Amino acid sequence: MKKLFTMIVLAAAAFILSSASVFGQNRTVRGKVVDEAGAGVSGAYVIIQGTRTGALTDVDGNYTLQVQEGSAVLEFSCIGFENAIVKLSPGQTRADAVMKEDAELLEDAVVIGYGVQNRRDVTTSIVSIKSEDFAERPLTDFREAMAAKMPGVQVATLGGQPDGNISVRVRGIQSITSGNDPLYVIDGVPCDSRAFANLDSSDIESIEVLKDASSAAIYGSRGSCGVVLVTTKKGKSENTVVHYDGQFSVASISKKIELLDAYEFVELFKEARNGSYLIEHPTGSIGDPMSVRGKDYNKYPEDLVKEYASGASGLVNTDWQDEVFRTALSQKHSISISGKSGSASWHVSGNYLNRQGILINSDFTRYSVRANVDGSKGRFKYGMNLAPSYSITNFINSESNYGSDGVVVNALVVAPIFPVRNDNGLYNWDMTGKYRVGTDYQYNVHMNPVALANSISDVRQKMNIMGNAYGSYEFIKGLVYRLSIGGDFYSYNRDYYKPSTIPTANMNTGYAPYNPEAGQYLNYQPNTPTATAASNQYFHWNVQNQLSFDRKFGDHSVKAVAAYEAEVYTNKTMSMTGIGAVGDDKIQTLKGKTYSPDDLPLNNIVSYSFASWLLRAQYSYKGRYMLSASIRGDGSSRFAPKTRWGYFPAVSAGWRISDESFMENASWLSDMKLRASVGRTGNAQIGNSEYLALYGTGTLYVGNGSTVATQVYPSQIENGDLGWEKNTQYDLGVDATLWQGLLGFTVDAYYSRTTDMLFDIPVSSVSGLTTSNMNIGSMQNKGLEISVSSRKQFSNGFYYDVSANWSLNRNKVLHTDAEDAPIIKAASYAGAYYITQVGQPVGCYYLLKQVGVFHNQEELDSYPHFLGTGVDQTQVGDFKFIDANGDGILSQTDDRMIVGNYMPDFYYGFGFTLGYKGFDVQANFQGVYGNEILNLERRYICNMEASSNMMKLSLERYPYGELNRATRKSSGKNGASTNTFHIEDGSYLRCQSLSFGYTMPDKWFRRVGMNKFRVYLQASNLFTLTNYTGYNPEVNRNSSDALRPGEDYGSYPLPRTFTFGINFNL
Amino acid sequence: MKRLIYIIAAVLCASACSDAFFERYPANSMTEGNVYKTEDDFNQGAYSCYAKLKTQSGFLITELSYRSDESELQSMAVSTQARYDYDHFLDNDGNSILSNVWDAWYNGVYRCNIVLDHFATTSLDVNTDNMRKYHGEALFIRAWFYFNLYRVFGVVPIVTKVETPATSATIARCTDAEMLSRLEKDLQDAADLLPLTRTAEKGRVTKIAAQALLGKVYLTFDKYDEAEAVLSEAMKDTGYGLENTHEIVFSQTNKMGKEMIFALTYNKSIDMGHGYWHSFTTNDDARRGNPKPEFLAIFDQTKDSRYDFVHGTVTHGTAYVMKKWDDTFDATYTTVVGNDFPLLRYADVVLMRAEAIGLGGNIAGAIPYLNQTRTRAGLTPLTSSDLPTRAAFVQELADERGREFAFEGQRWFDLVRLGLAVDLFKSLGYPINDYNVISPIPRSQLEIYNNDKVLWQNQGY
Repeated sequence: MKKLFTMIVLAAAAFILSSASVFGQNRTVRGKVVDEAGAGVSGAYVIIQGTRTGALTDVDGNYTLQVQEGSAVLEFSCIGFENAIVKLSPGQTRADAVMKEDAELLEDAVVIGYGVQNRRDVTTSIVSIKSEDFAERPLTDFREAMAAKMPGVQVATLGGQPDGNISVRVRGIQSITSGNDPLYVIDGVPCDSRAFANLDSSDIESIEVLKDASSAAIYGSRGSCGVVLVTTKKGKSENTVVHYDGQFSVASISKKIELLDAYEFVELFKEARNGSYLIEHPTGSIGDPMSVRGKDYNKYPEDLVKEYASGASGLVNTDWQDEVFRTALSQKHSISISGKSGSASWHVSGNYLNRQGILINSDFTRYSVRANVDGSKGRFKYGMNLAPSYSITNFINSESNYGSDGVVVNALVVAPIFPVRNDNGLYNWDMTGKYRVGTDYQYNVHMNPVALANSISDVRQKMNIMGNAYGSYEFIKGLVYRLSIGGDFYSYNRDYYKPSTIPTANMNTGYAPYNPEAGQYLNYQPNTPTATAASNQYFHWNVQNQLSFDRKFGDHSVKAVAAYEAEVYTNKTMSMTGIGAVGDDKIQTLKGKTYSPDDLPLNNIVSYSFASWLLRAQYSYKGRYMLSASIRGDGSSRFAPKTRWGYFPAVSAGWRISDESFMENASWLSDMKLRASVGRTGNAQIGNSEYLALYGTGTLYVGNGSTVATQVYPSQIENGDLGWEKNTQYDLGVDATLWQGLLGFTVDAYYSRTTDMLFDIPVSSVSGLTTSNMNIGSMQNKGLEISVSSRKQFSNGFYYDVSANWSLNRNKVLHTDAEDAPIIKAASYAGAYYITQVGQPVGCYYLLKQVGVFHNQEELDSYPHFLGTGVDQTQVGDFKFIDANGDGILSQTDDRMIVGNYMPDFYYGFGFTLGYKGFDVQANFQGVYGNEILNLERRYICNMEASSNMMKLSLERYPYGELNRATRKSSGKNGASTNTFHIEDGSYLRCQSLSFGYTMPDKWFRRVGMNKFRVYLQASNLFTLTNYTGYNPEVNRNSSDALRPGEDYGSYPLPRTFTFGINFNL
Repeated sequence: MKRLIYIIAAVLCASACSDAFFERYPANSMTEGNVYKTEDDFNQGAYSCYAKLKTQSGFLITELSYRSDESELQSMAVSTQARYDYDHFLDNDGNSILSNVWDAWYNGVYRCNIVLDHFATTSLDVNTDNMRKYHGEALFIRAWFYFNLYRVFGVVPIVTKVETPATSATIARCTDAEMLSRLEKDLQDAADLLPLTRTAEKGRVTKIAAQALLGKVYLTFDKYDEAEAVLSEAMKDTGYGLENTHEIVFSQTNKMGKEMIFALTYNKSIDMGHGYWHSFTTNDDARRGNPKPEFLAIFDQTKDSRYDFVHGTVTHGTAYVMKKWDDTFDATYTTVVGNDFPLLRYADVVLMRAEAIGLGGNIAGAIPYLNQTRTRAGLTPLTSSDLPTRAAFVQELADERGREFAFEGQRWFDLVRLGLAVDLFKSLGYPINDYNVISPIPRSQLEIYNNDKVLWQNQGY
């Protein structure tokens, strides 16, 4: 410790002495340094050329310097300004200087990680957006701002939850078993998605995405899925600016799924039961009475059918979607004060967001504050960001699938013949089995979705304090040491209560038959209530030591960074679930509840650490030839000592061809740069302790009275060979500007290869294990990204800005395990499968291919179909499947084929801004083409069993159309085998936003001290052109599992939102 | 502040990259650093070996009763395909019952090897009474797993220390001689290490268990003299003996009585029980099918008290429970019962002694042992004239073992060991061949090895 301080002090002293040595001066020169507006420039460095003697300006820009007799040259420098030179004649004792702002540096600085770089000099593939690109969109999750704006960055809105549900993939999927989320870095501090759960987009200045491995390699082991760099706002203006931003939104469901009404449903309900009766009794007739129909599932309640068949009006006909979705209101207010005075600048903001979900009883409220303060004293600079935030979500279970408390799924499946409430005002529960005949236990039992949404309380609170502080010292011009300490504390609390008024959705028991004496159809028994309390806390700290050098020597510009960094994450979890007594909902906490052995309180603490060093050098000659090289070494607690450190090098080069003399005549070409890069990154998104030998505990009874013993068993074998997944990527790019910005384009082509991919592969059981994680697989991605933009300002005040981008990515698995065995994985429903095999993209749908239905016996007899007896056998009106292996025998397993993939052929975005004086129109579109979605919803709402409500599509059933016929017991495995009938094209084009704005002339508000007063109307998700029949073609239920993407199985529909916004400065 | 300075210092110093910074362990698991430090840690390790044995009870209780002639699965559902195939000698290397026991028993071996490896390296005194016991238990249980692997699959790879997945795939199937010498050594060592008398923990093994198991190993390898020697040694242990009746052995008021040498123990009143074993949904012989009528034919249905014990049922609600495994649900934990499952009984030692002596050539000398369980069950004692030939002796011995150990997971192995299995199951109409007495090595394992010099398939498959 003591040694350390001695070292620091000595080092600092050496620099100070060498740079400020004082000898032989004999006159005092004074002066003031001002910017072009006449304001003093503080912290500017004045140096006598050819010496090491210099001084710094004070807060007002004044300086004092001892200068030798005779003439001399003073050089003034300050970050953000171009250097200025003043010649001193002999005897001159006053020298003022005017410094010009370095327009280049300020206007187009790109954050590249551990530094910034001028956009002109960037040699890698980086895309960025600025606050003005998204300031007026009603965003909850800031990541939505990136959608459709960045080629190579696919942002999917997986659901319409009020607190957001976003997935980001940079250049496709890089790993099969590890995570595919990019690394997020907020103001230089790496973090997980939890850290920005409460980040308000109003506080963001810019978002940069490092796409190629060469740029991302500076984040080494965490860079393989791209890096998203978020920079928050800082004070810029000398005048203190108070900015207010308000948004008021109205949202409603953007698309409903067309379902049967009650009359159509009852017709199909009857037809389906007749259908199954005829399967089991081929000689029967649909007119046969219920008494002779054998199995209960061949019968239907005659009263009900008669009632609806009569076509009488006024019968119950509930549209459950209308009952659970609503028009939702939101508001957002954000106020910030920012400014700069002398040596300090600040940006302080407060944000409030309240967003109702379009599902009843779901909403999200967020409060956040941020203070970013920077300052300097001489060569010392310091700064601090602090951002505490709190949010509370009233969560509605929208994504759960069939058979659970999922509100969306239940709204789709509950038959329209049931009312929401009984006449007495209580929730109706007839859908739990009123029309189930006898022991037809497979009759689909549903829950009242309105009751679920309103009765279950699931409150989730997130608190996050994010911050960092830094100090830097410039030893000599351009050489800066910087120490930065940052991190976040995150706390998540969940309180869940399911009251006893919700009966069990149990298909076998719990059904109380109709009770005429109660005067109501009260198929209802109170259940045991459930209470859960869970919490999750993160503490994460990060320390960075950085020495950087940035200096121009004539035509040569050199930048270099050396850094050392360490960080530790600690996560503490706790969860308790208790079951109460039937009918008792008085206290809605864990108090008085009992715990089953499976729900015992569970807590755990895990921790992981990273230590890293990195070196980067960047060189530019006249901005014409650019070269960059970097290497990072990462060590992580997630790997065994032997494989702990990974090394991630990168190089890139750029050539500004437009600056070459042979291009002089091409005056139309304003700027053109060719780029090439190669880099290696890693993926450390694996478990925290997978290499360790671990022991678990369990109980054991060994015949000792009432005593239970504790056993300690080996739960995980040591795996010292477990190492990093590595990704090597090559990128070639062109950036060009033509006709002074009238047309600009960027093209990137890349090839990446992931190697040492982790697979849990089967191993010899003689070892005691059946599988083990090994670095064995490989995969490639190749792609092309194009973006084009055009902007022009006309002298009459009209301006436009048009941009478009297009991205293509092709993924291919090269190697799985030693035998290259395909990985077959079941979807959320076990009858649907995915296959990942060599030569194909990851996670292809692997299903029977359906081609129409059998129209007659002759057709059936001449084509392979399912054999067997009764319902196992395909009959006329059932689906016809392709006998893929051509053996003449149709098999549910052997005839599966690859029938599509969630990965699109390409995706694109385009948008424009048109303006005239204060008026402007903006629009943004995004689209995906050629992806397929596994719509498992159809298994329930289009299975022709009519045990639940059906899609309108079911009207096209045989013999009325080309879908399978109605039967309560699907024959020919129509129901049991998910097939291409459940695969749909997910291509879409969405109008993501359209807005009209008017910025009022400042003179209108001069008297009240306002300026830049602006109002706008904005529509989000205005329309989507797609053939997809589900709610949202971006859906991806298991978004974190690369092996089974693209499943729709209960998703929160997207809202269409209209926003009125107002903002102004004070 | 102090912490902050420490953090900065830690980072600046080169020592920040010391191992300590990277040593981060999950709080809910233990790592090598906090196990096997005390005698009690070894005790908990020994428990883990028992625990694995216990999770394998289903194979012994259910699957082996189907494999033998005790039970038959008459019709098959998708979920019972593997059982149906195993029962009906539709043997195939993809059967999940086989891959499950292969995986689980080797996991048991692994658990034992973890304990034994730590015995080899510990700085603790390994000669205390407790440590000797735990050591003996790990050896005994490992031998138990290997013996059963041998009885199901034939020779198998033997590992005696923890191996990595890579190195274990290089270890070839052993020879018969290697298997015998491994089991012989481990069980002799276990017998030396294990205590004579049981403590309060009645589910733990003692010396006689190791001797009894070794006796069975010898019989399996046709080493009758060695079997006779170790079994006669075992019978000198006065702490164990036959109960007066067969029924009392299984009585819920006489749990772990003097006849129980080793059993899987359960206690329903502390939620450490299990569901009913061998219960039926009907009491109608014709409809319930099990026990199979052919199996019941080995009983003298009028005289043998054991007949009613397996044929008769006790009604509990909608379940009809085989009398042998009768118990009532606990009042608090209303889905569990508490029968213990015997793995080694004194009656087994007695009948094994009969087998050792009889097959060693002295049938007359064997008969007194054979009669002990017969007479206890109410049958008349046999004399030499009843068993004139070796074949008659073998048949009677098999029948007597069948009656005595019905539904105790012994029958299939007895029939194989005594050479009766193939003829019996042929006569019952099953497609059995000579090679079916040992099962195929699981295909999943063969595919992983992909090397038939190391792991080859058994003949016939």
